[in-house]
Amino acid sequence: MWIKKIEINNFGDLKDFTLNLKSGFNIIEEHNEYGKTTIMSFLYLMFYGKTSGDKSPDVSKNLRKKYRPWNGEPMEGRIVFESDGTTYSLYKLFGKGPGSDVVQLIIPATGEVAGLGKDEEIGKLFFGLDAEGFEKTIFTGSTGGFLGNGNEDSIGLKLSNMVTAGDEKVSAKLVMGRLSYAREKLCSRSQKSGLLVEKRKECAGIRAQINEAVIKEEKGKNLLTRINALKDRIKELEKNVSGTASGEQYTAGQIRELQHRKEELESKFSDDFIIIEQDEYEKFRENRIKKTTNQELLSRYNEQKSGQLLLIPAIIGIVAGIVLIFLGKNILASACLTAGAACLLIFFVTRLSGRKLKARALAEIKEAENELISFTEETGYGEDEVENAYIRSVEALKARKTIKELEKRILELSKQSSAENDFYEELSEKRDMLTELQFELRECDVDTQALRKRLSHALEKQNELEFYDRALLLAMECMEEASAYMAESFGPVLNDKASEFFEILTDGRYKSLTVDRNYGIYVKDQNKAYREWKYLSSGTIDQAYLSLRLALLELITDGKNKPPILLDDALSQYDGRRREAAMALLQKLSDRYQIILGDVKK
Amino acid sequence: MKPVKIIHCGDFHISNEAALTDASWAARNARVKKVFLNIIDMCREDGTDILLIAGDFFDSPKALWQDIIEISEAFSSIPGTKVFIAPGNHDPACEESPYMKEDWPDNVHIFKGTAETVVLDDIKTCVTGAGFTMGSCYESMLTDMRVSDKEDYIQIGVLHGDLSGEGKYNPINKEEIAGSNLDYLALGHIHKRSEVVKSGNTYYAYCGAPQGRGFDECGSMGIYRGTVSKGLCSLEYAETCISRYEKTEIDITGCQSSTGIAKAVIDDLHNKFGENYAVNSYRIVLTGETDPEFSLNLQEIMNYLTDIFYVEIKDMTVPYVDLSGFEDDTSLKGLFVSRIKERLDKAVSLGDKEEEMLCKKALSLGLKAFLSEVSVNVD
Repeated sequence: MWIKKIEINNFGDLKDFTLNLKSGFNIIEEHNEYGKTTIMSFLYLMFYGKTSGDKSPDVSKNLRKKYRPWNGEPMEGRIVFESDGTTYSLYKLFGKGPGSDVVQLIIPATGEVAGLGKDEEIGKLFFGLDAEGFEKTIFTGSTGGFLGNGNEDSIGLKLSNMVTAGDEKVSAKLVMGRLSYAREKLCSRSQKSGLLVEKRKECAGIRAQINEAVIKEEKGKNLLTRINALKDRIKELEKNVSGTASGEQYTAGQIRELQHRKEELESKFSDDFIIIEQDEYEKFRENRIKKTTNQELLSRYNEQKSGQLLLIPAIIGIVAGIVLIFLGKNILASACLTAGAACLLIFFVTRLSGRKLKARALAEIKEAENELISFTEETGYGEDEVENAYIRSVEALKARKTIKELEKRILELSKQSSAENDFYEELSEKRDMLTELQFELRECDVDTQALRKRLSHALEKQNELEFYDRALLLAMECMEEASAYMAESFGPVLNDKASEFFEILTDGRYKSLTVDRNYGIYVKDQNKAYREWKYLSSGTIDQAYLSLRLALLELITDGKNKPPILLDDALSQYDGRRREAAMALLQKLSDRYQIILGDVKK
Repeated sequence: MKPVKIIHCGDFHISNEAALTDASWAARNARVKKVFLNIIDMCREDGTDILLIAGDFFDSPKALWQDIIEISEAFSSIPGTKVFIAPGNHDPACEESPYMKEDWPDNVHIFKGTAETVVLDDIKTCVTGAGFTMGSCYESMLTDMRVSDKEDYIQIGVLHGDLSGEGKYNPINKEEIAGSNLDYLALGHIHKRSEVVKSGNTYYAYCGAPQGRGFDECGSMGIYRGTVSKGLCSLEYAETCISRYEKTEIDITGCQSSTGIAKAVIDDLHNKFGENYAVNSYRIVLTGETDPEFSLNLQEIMNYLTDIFYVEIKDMTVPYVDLSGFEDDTSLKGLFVSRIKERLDKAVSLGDKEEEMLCKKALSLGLKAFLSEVSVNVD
């Protein structure tokens, strides 16, 4: 493929500019500011609407901005080129961006308009290279070379990058480094830190919490069963202890009260109080009565006139009888005498019996008095005190009975209390246990649902990170494979080609240009000594650079349709001999490639 | 008999101690309180007879006192509505619970344990309920639930429980519901609402949470409101959430800048969720093909979306790469792409979608590594 004609209507400083070219070696040898770089940039933009510097804020790298005509008119131009025997005319009216460009590709011989796909780049269509590939190989713009850089590290890096990555700005090492760095953010080499490591730890932590929670849940279930059984037992016990929780206190109170009453009674009727039993009292009373009765009887006997009173009628009767006898009233006299005799008889009889009774009464009194004396001596009570003592004795006996009853009740209650105490002890124990179990149950009360929710969320994040990690690993694996392949297969061929060109360009000073597995660049001089690139002059490095570019181009464009090689000020650092050698090499290459070299007129 | 007007809600999860120290919790708490106050307004406007709150009203028994005061005042403001609360596993009626305080308004009844029935003679209705007393309850509360013997009264039940019939959150089942003799059983615990369905002669439903609290509670959230009469139930769902949680995928193919992506996101959300899209919370998955040279910066995109209440973004875009263009490319990049392509083709032929996605992501990351540092776009 070769470019036949360049027509620039408006592009940078160039206006209505036309340049006809031939298929072989074209040298645009002009003074500075002629527009050599502008022509090269025009060609770049004609073939590629989108360039690597489009997003650069640096105007010098952004071709579309850099070459915007100062007269304000739109950039516009045409090129005519031949590819595979067909001549094409490519017209472009440049807009603000590639999307607004007006592009027309026609075949002038037939007037046919060649169809272009959406966003399809002409360069890609004809060179088989995208803008990046174009820049790396066939296009050596004034900003793309090593000229005047002076920074050897940077130059070396670009060389090694270009050889290994095909891009002078990026090395396989750098790409791997970036991927590795991103991976380390997820998972450090020591596996101890990183987003993914942290997330795994978080998930493991939540899992452990869930396991713990499940165990707690199980424990909780068991506790609940125990709690329910315990509650049932507590209910039973509560029924047994007076049905109320205060039963214990009630019984104890009762006992205390009874005890109090007992003590009161005991203090009222002390143990040394002599009790007069009822029979004793009754006997006492009988003796008293006996004594009194006999005393009364005796007294009556002593004071009795009734016997003597019988003497009067007896005398009257007898006297009257005698009188009547004398009076002759015999009947009446006998009646009176009978009556008088009867009364007299009764008087004597009575008097006799009275004496007997009196003696008996005295005996009775004596006996009673002896009994009473004996009683009072035994009891210590005076006769007058006995009545009261007996009343108190009755009370005391009653009290003693009550005390016994109280004692009995107290004993019963104490027994009950003791039984209750057993219940209470158990109840209290069970209640304590219940409180303890309920506390334990509360400890087992974990929200497993919330934990599972947290785990699910954390796992989602972990999976995302794992996905990134696997993707990074895959990218690294593929990158390593690509790098190894390149070093093993493409590398030696590239080295051979580059060495061939480098020997020519250095006029035989260096026999080979080698890029090793570690991307180190070495040259072998005539003495067959290897030297690292950093010991080379900047001009020699430039020659190494051109050698590698041309070698790459040879490797990449192996087909028939060879693209043109565009070189802008590529030989400016060359000395006379090497410049001649380079021109000879380019001349030789121009058999296969159209070469357009922008060179400063000296 | 006149039907009773009810509102059935629950699972508010109001008041969490974290709200005192964490701004996002505070915002979440404020939002759910606002929803609650809107429901109180609804009771006032509808002349609701009974407000049923089926548990987890508070997020924990340690509710903030200022929240309790606000809630109590809100209940006081609707004296015509009887409020029934059946405490759930998050807000059990335990010792430290606010439910155990004496000073709840007269129109509020809290079921503090085993089942009990409140008879409302004025509206010929009985409300039966039970409540959690601790964070778990392994035995069904329905087993012991006996409705009032006032047969001509409307029988309503309210419970917090798990209808799956197992677990530690009051496992209940449909047979028990059928045997409950209730006309309507208002359930809480499951945050996603169910339809109002029937078991035996009893209608029952989970009303769901009135406001979503995370991306596991997406979409519309609300309550049931309507009437219940003897053997009949006429309840309708009403959305109450003032902000939804939504998950969505947005294709950003063609976007080449953070502003462009932010605009695509906003346009998409506007189309899908209407004018008030900004009040919602979104988990967005960006899909589609992007320029391999464009490094997608999630943080930068987020900076353009600050008007939206909450946004999470996940990058699942793949770079647009014309893989065929690399066929003859013997550069490192070309070789890298061809290695990925081999694996990608294999994954596609095997129908292994996961491997396909992995290859695409590896391609995306690898190509980015040629241009710049690689960032891991996971929030």
